[in-house]
Amino acid sequence: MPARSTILLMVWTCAVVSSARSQTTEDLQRRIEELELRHSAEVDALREELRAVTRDAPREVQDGEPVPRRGLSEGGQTTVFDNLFNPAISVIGDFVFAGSDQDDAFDRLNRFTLRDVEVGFVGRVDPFASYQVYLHIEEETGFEIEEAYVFVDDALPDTFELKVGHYSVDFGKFSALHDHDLPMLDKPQVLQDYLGGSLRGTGVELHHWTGLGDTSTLRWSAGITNGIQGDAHSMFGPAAGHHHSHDGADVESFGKRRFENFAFHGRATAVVELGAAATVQVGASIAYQPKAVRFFEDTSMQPFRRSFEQRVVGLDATYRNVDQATGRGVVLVGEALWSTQEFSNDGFDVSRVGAFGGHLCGEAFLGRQWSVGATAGAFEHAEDASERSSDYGAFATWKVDEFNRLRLEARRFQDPGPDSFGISMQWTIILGTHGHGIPW
Amino acid sequence: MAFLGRRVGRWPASCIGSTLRRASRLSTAIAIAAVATSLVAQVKVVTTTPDLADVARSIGGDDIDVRSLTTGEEDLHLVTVRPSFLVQVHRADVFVQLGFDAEHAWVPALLQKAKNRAVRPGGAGFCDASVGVTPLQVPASVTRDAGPDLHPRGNPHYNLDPRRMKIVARNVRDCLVRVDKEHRDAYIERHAAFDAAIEHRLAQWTKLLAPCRGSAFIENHRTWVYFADAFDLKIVGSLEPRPGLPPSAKHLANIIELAKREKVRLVVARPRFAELARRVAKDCGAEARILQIGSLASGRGWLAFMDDIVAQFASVLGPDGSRR
Repeated sequence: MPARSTILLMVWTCAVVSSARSQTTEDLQRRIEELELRHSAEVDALREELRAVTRDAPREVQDGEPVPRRGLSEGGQTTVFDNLFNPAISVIGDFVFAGSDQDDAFDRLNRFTLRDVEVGFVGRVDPFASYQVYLHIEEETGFEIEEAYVFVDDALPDTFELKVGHYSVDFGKFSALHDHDLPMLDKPQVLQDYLGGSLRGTGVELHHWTGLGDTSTLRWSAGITNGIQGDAHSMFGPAAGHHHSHDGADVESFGKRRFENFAFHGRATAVVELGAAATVQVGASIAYQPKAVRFFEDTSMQPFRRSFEQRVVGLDATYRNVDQATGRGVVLVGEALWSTQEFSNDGFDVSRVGAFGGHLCGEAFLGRQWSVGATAGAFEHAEDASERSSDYGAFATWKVDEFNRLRLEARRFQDPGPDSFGISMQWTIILGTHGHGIPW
Repeated sequence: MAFLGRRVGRWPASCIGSTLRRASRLSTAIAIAAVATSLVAQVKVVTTTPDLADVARSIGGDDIDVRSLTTGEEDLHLVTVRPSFLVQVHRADVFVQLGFDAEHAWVPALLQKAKNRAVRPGGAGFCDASVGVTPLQVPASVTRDAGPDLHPRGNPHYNLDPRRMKIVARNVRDCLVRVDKEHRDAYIERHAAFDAAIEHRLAQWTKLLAPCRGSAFIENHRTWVYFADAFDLKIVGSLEPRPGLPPSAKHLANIIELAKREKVRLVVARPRFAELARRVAKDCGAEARILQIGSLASGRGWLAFMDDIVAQFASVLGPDGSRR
């Protein structure tokens, strides 16, 4: 009996010990799994931090690790002709056939024209700024620097940005757009007359935006340039041709540049969201040059100095409602401009001209590929408000794909001279880097 | 001091005491409000798609406030940036993108303009969901000759593969842990539950589509490669001759002939190509299914979306489908 009890006690003890050991094993296993789970994310995060730290920091190559040779010549240095840090390049071609019944037809009419080859170079200078260069090349005039500016986009506080160089001035809806980005062939006639097409300048422009609630933004910019300068590459109308206007360079030819010789510009615009597809934008812009001086020759070829004060104020509104799923919708743009110029010939014969003009543009998107639209504009001439011009037209655009676009446009012009009618076929292609940006 | 003395001199002591008491109460109230606000402050997460928002929501729970910039119906390559995008990204703690260049046309400009370093690439709050995801259809050479919608880093529609979405969930979890260490344990716990839910549903979906293995179907745009890879289905052609190019009549004729030859029973397309898909399906004796390629912001989330997609495929390609 004692022996049997002893055996039973031993069996029971073994069972208890075994059970306890089994429980301990399971418990340990469970604890290990918990710890692994608990710390896996932390370990991953630490590894990520380590990668981030070591990515930029110099380190020694470990035994057996392949030596990175990228960007290094056999001499172990970055070569003079290294291309690792080359900027992104884009090329845009704009071919136009334009026909017109205009009597004094500008030499681009009734022929095929390579209106624009735009070559863009964009890249980062350092963590604080990018540099953007856009060259315009065309058949007759060769090439010009359309824009070339440093964009300090990551060094200033809050949402401030600074543009320094030669750039399209932030004015209205269409002035700053390159011609191939327009919904129609040419910039509105009123912009060509009051601003010279695109308002360009060499100077400094400060930008800032802020949120108004959750679904609206207010953006403003202010800048100073050497002068009010226009750049146009229009095919039709009284301002057809490639020309610059009011470049302000003459100011330097008669002596010291004064503060009043600079031009000042500013814009404020608010974009309000009306749902998943619709936005309304309203904006106000101003360009002002207190005193520009230029030299002209009178009928007897005698030079005389003409100074003038110029001010252009613009108001614009845009309604955009395009379904992001189907690509169908409409965009409506309206812009009104007031131009004021006060002339003085060598301090005498002071005259002041105030002129008003505007334009409307509507485009209906039938899908991702097709859109049709119409434009109309009317204005008093900036240098003689008694003369008036107007135009209206219609266009159809076929986006073959994202990088290939064809457009047919017809337009009628009414000027102090004979009325005219024009029809154009435009083919625009895009190569290389491009971005859709922010439509504000 | 003389000035202060004059001011104090004009005010009775009781008035000063009362003012100080009020100021003390006010400052206490402000302090309490500040503490309360910090206690309930949620991590602001902005995602480019509803799928990613749903993953973030599953892992972040009530500790985060998630918003998707798109509704799921857009073409992700052609999204127009609206004011709310800027405001949301500017205020965000975490930004999650699909990656593989899916959002290349608008996200880089958006991140640049939103001026929030924390959610830019390199920032703690930037989460590229595609990190660690093995891409498919990576082009051998990068040329537009292969189509306007070419993706140099591979097809970006990996949200249709549950196995790859497990990697996405891990990426999102890691980003949340990085940004909000205070709720690390909660994120890890919810991620484990979400991961288990995907695993569980994956087993169900695999079982449901098992009879369809090797079945051929036609897509409109190169979208379904990850789904086909996950469930062993076969894509025999696309209605688009090349990504981003609309089909010509000749190409459609070739596709219909191919579909007949390969005994294709299903043509899938997004809603805006419904008419074309139905026409082709009718001509080749197949069925058309009009499907979204990701969950909708108004929907019931990514798992429910996948439930629906799998059911749609099974209904046509499965044993009860329209067999020839």
